[in-house]
Amino acid sequence: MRNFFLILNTQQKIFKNYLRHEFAAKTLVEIGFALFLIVTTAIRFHQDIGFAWVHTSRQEVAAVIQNSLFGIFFLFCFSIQLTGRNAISIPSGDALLSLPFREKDIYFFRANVFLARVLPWFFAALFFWTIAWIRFQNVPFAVHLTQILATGLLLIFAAELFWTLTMAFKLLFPASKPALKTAGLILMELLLFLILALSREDVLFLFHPAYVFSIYFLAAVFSLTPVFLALNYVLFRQILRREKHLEFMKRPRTGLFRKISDAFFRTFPHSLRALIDLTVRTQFRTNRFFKALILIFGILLLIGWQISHSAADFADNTMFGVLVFYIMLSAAFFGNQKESQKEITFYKSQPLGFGQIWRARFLGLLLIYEFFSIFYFVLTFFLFGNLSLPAWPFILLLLFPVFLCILQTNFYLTLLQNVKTGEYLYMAFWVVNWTFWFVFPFLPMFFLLAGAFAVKPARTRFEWVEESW
Amino acid sequence: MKLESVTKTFGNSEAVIDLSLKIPKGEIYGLMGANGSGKTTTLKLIVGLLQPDTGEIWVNGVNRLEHAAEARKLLGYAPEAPYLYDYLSGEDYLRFVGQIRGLDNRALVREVDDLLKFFRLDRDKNELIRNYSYGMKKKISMASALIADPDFLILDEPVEGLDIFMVKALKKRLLRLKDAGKTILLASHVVPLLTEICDRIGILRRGKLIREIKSETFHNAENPVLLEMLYEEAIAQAELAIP
Repeated sequence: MRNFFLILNTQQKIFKNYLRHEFAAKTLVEIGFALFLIVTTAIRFHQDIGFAWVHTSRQEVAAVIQNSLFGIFFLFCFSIQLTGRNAISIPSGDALLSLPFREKDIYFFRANVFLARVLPWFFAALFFWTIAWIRFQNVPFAVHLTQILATGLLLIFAAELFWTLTMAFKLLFPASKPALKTAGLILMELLLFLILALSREDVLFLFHPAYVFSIYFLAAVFSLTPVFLALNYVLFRQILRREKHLEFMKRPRTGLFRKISDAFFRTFPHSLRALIDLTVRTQFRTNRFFKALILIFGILLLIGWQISHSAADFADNTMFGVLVFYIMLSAAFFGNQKESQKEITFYKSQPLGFGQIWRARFLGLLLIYEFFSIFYFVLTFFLFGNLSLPAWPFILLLLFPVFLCILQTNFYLTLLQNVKTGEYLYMAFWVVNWTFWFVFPFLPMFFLLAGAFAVKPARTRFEWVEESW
Repeated sequence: MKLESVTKTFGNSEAVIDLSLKIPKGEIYGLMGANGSGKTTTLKLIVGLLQPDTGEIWVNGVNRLEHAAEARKLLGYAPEAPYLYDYLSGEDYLRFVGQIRGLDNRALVREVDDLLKFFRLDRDKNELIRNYSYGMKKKISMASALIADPDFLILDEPVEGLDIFMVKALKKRLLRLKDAGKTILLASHVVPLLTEICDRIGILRRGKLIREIKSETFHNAENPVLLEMLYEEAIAQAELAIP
C-alpha cells in the first residue's frame, strides 16, 4: 500500500505543478476569446447592420452569447482536464525531435501536436454540450447545436491561425522576449478576429439562426478534411521530399515591408502546407489501421453530410458530429498510447508489483476525471436546471470517467503483454477497450434521440426557421 | 549476474541470439557493437523491460523471469533515453524513485542531496524537468539509477550528453562503486570510457557475442587505439564466417 499511495501522491503533485504552470496561460487565451465574442456580438447587436430584416430579439442574442461562452468554457475545462492527464504521463516529445526534420520543421510538428490535442477536446466538449442543450426548451435544439458547432469551428480556425501567426511573429521579431511574443500573438489574433467581426461578412453570421444552413457548408468542408489531407499528401509528396518548401526561412529578407510580405504571402501558405504534410506523415503513416479508419469515416462523413443537407434532420447532423468526434478521439487514443509506453518502461524498471502500479494509476486518473465530471454535473444542473429532468443522462455523465479509466488501464495492461499467463487478460481488456471505443461515439446520438422524444420542443426547427425568415 | 542462452526476436528479426554471459560481483562489463547489434535489447532483457523467448537470466541468484520484482530491487537502470515526468522538479523525481526503492526519510534526504551535488544539479533542483536540457535530463536519469545504492547497475550510453568534467567524475564514481563490490553492466560507443573502466568488453554483432576482451589486453598495450583495432578485427572475422 505504501507504493500505491506514493504513486498517487506523486500524481497529485504533478497535476498541481501542471495547473500552476499552465493555468494562467490557458486562462488568458480563453478570456481573450470570450471577450472577443462578447464584444463582437454586442457590436453586431447595436449596429444591427445587415440583419435588420431578420427576426432578432435580445433574448436570441443573449442565447447566442451564452452558447458561445459555454462552448469556450467547456473546451477550456476539457483542455485542462485532458492535458492534465497527459501531464501525468511521461511524454515522448524527444522522440519527435529525433525525426529527420530541421529546426524550423519542429515548430510545425508542435503545431501538429497542438492541433491533434485541440481537436479531440473540442469534440469532447461538443459531446457534453450537446447533452446539456437537449434540455433547453425555449429555442429549438438544432439552432443551439449549430451555434455550438460554429463556436467550435471558429476555435479550430483560431488554433490553426494561432500557430500560423506564431511562425509569422517569430520571423518578424526573432529577438523578442517570450512574454512579448505571447502578448503580441494574442493581440494579432484578436485583431484578426476584430477585422472579421467588423466586416460585412462577419463571423456572427455563423451564430445566427437564419444562417443555420451555412454551417452545413462549413461542416462539409471539415468532413472533407481526410480526403483533402490524402490529396495533399499525393500532390505535395514530391515537393516535400526535396524539402525545399522551407528553404526561404533560412534566409529571411531584410526590411520591415519585405518581412511582413514574407510572413503573410510566403509563410502562411507554406506553413499550412507543411502542417498538412506533417499531419499526414505523423498520423497517416503511423498506423495502417488508423489510415484506413480515417478514410472510411471520411467517406461516411460525406454521406452523412449529404443526408443531413437534404433531409435537414438534426439526428443526421448529430451523426456527422459523432463521426468526427470518433475520428478525433481515435487520434487522441493512438497518441496517448504512444506516450504511455515510456511511462510503462519507467515503472517496469522499478521494484514495483504490477497491481500496485495500475491500481494507483487507475485511481489517480479516476480522481481527475471524477473531479471534472462532478464539476460539469453541477454546472449543467444549475445552468440548465430543470429539476423534472430524468437523472440518467447525468448519471451516465458521472460514469464517463470510469469508462475513460478502463480505457487508460489498457495501457498498463501492456505490462503483461510479454508474460504468457497475462496475455489472455491483456487481450480481454483490449477487446473491452475497442468495444467501448466503437460503442461510445454513438452514445451522444442516443442521448439526443432520447432527449428529442422526451422534451418535444414547442416548435420544430422548420417552423422556427420559417418564422425567423 | 548470469545470462544463459538468451534469445530474443522481434517478428522475423533476431535481436539477441543464444547469448550467454557471466559477470562476477565487483566487475564492470562493457558491451560494444554497431547500432542495432543488440546492446540495448540485452540490457532491457536483464532489467525486465523485455522478456526473452528462450533462456534464463539470474541476478544475484534470483531468477529474473520467475521473481521479476525481487530482481528489480537489486538493479539500478539508466536507459539511453531518459524516462522522466516533465511536471516534477528534479529533486521531487529523485525523491519519488528513492521512495519507490524503499529509502527512509533520513537516507532519502541525504542521498538526494548527495546525488544532486554530484551531478551539479543542486542549483536547478526545484526547476521542472520540462525546462531541463538533454544533458540535465540524462544526469537525473543516471542519478535515479544510483539512488538507494543498488548492487547491480545497468547503464545504457551513460556518458551521452554529459560534459567532459561530468564524464570524468562519473568514471571515478563507477570505479569507486566497483571497489565497493557493485556489479556494473554498461553499453556504450565511447571507446575511452570502455577502456578506462571496464574489466571486460563484449563485442556484439547482429545479436551474437562474437568476442570478449579482457582489460589486460588493452591496458598493457602501448597503442591507445588497440580496442578499436580489436573490434574491427572481430567484426571482420565474424563477417567472414557469416557474411
